[in-house]
Amino acid sequence: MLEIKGISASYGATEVLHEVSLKIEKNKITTLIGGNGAGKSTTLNCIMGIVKATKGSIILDGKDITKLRTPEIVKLGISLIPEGRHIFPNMTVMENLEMGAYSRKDSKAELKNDIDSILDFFPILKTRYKQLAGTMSGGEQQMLAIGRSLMGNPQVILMDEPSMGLAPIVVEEVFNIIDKIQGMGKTILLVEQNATLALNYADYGYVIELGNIALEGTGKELLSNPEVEKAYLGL
Amino acid sequence: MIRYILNGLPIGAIYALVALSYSFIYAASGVLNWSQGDMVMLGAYIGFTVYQILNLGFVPAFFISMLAVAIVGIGIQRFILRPLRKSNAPAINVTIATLGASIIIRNLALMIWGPDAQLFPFPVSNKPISMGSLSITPQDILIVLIGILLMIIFQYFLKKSKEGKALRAVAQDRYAAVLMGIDTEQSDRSAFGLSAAIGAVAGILIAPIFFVTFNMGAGIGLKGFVSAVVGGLGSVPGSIAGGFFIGIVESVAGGKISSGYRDAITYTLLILVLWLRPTGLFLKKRKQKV
Repeated sequence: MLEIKGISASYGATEVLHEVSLKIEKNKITTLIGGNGAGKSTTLNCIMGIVKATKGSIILDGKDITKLRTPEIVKLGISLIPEGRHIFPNMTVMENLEMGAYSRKDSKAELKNDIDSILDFFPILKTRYKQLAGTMSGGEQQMLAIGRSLMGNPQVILMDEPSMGLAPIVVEEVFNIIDKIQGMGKTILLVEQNATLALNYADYGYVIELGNIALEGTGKELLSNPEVEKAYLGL
Repeated sequence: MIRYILNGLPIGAIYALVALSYSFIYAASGVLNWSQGDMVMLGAYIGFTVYQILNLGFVPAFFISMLAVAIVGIGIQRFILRPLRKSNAPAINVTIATLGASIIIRNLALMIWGPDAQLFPFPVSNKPISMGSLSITPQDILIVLIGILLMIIFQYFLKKSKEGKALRAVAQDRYAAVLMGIDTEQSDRSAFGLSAAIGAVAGILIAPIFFVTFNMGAGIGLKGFVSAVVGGLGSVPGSIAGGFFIGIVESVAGGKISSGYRDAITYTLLILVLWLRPTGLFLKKRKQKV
């Protein structure tokens, strides 16, 4: 589905990704775990075309998208839910959802229909659809960020630290939703610092260290891998 | 007192438009565009040329002027902002480059229209209509009405249209807007074009009050900018309120104290606002953009 083949990326003169390769299988949850500054977010921004890869290629369904601009990549059905949520604070919940559908050419009635089903999917948003998004709690904003992404009707959803800054009970809710989204037939690349949680939900995982892929395997394999345990599971 | 407030409305409406153009471009593209005052000057000259020299009528003067000045604004985005953005220049460099554009435009205007001040009367009466002790001219009424109409249309565009919402999204979170698939190159272009067109309308509206000269942009540009800062730079409603506020304060100060102190009072007000309430007088605590 989405294949990343040996991409490198730099900020100024410093190379931060060194020939990273990932395979994201259709309708699976793939996770990319690693410490702070390992290159997780950079990888996601590379896929979106926001950071340009200096080497390697990114292939979506056999099509090379490495050189495309972000608006075109979004149109092809890849969506990034960014770290820190980045909802539009002075827009209502409704307007945020509308922005999620910005790149779609569908009719108003169709979009209205999709907004309704997103609001049904997230009851908390339904009661607040007229509220300014910036006045909501972190958990509600995370739900909105997910809903906004779904409004674009993406095939592949990239999630950057969806658990960050949320209470444990809300984190659980968010991961249940991720599970449900997979059930809708979406393909997910999940970036997390909370490695235990991510590996429990993921079908396949990669460990990134200092811009290199250090390990890979199924979620179960990585969970029981002593190296992963020592470095990321905090045992 | 009410008389002076009423007299401050026409110039207030013009300041409000200029303030709005500064704030909108700042919020949507992150650029403090110092050539905004010269868009007002160009708007006045092009309106004057279409109406007085080419005799094409008053309404066409508005639309031709808005269109022509919008093209100039888009040109500034294309030839100044875009190359600087590509080379990752800091914001201060972009701001200084717009100051350079302002000087170039001003001198081109001097070459085209000459150094003499031009008069640009409106096709309505300038005779005051009296209501008791108050009086206002039809020309002033027209200025205020056109100004307010444009502000309403612009707010409606921002709140209701897809492109308007996209511009608000860019202003609130540029990164998230990119992730929605919004083309920021396109939104920069819209911000520069629309702000320039709004400036052009302010230019035509101010033309019957002041003479049209090649360097009029400096004064009106600065007053518009002060209005934006006093009302809340980056906020469209705040800037509109700021424009009317400064217009009325100037009129009251001119009438009650002395017109010689008018500018001194305006700038004292600016210093007080920057000192005591730097986010602007009319903004709630949470910073609100566009």
